[in-house]
Amino acid sequence: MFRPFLLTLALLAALPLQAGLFDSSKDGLPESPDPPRLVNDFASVIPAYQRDSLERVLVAFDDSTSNQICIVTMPTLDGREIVEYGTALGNKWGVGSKRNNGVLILLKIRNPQLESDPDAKYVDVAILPGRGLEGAIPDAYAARIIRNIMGPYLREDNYVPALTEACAEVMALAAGEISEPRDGEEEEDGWELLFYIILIIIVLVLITRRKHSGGSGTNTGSRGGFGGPIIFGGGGSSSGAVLPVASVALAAAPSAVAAPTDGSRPVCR
Amino acid sequence: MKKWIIIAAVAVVVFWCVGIYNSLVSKDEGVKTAWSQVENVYQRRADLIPNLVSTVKGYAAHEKGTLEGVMEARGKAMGVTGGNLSEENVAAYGKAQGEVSSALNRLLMVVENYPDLKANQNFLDLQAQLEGTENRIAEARRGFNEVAKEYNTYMRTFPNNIIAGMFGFQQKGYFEADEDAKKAPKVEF
Repeated sequence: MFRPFLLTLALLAALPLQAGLFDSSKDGLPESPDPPRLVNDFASVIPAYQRDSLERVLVAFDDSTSNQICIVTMPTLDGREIVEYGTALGNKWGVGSKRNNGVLILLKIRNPQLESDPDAKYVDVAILPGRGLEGAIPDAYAARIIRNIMGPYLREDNYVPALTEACAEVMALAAGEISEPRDGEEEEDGWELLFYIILIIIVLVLITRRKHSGGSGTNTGSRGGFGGPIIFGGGGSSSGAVLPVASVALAAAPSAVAAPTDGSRPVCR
Repeated sequence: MKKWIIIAAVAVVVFWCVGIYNSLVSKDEGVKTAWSQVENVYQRRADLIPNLVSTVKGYAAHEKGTLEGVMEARGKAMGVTGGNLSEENVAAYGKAQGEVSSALNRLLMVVENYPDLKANQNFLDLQAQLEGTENRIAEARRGFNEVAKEYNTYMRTFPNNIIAGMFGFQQKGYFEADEDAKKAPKVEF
């Protein structure tokens, strides 16, 4: 009970910029960023200009395909298993939309100075697709991305190219599965809204018509804060927005990762 | 007048009982859904095993004992079902699947001695799928335990326990913490 709290304090001291994002709530996970961001560099390994360009690429990808790729770097996981941590984090933040089409790329950096962390000497990485993208990014592909694309960079603690290239690959895979513009969802909301407005008008007309019967308590027809998900959507109801997948294994030779053969491969560098 | 009061009281009690009964049914369904998820992911693992075994066989044919151990444990586990999800049934299911886990762990340990196999793309893919499946298994077990606990708590609370007893609702079992589910070995990047 006591130790995690101390650790949180240590983190706050180490990362003054991100202070407040870490909380000492019982799940020990960072709060979802406000305003929502797709690149969350809690480990401070991505220079600001690269972070912004990566963010732009991911937001554009989200806008055009509704697939959300969220990158999180952490200085430590407090000794927790990365897949378990990432799954909990992805579910807590609700990465992806109602279709569970989010991907969380979680990277724990090597941080040998941090003595409180038993895994401080290791880099740990997980690519966690939501249920809706399990078909597009099967475990074997996620593991290949980690092993063949990220591995060589991670061995040299070269985090930024590891992340950007993994991102490009994940986008190529995800784009083949679910690809619909964001506004598709909003349009639906629009129709729904229209329906409610018409309903309210009808009700109002009915009430005013029979003035004599005394229309009691006006039923406010507003639906409590709907505001479609912009970055972090996903109904809190589904308990499995992000499902665990690949952890880490290494092979010597980097070989080509099977990519879908459509030409629309987004660039992410 | 008195008659009406009695009728009203009876009606209230009946509706109240119906409410409890309906909650029990919906929670029971929730447990069943979570269980089907558990069976689903274990089935997924069972489907991977023959492939894995035949791949390993190609490189390490004389590890016959270990390979057969895996297939045997798999075959046994396929015969065990959750049944009515009582404590004994869930425990038996967990035990049978736990034996598959330990047999698989033994197999993966043996594999460490075969560098050629470890570099084989097919094997690496299978291993990744297996790891992913194990992660999903852990998740499904956690999910099942959660809803089963909710159901049990509701069912045993007074006065719900009276209704539950009347209609034969049984307590559900939990999965024990999986000691065999060892963490994947750390690979140094």
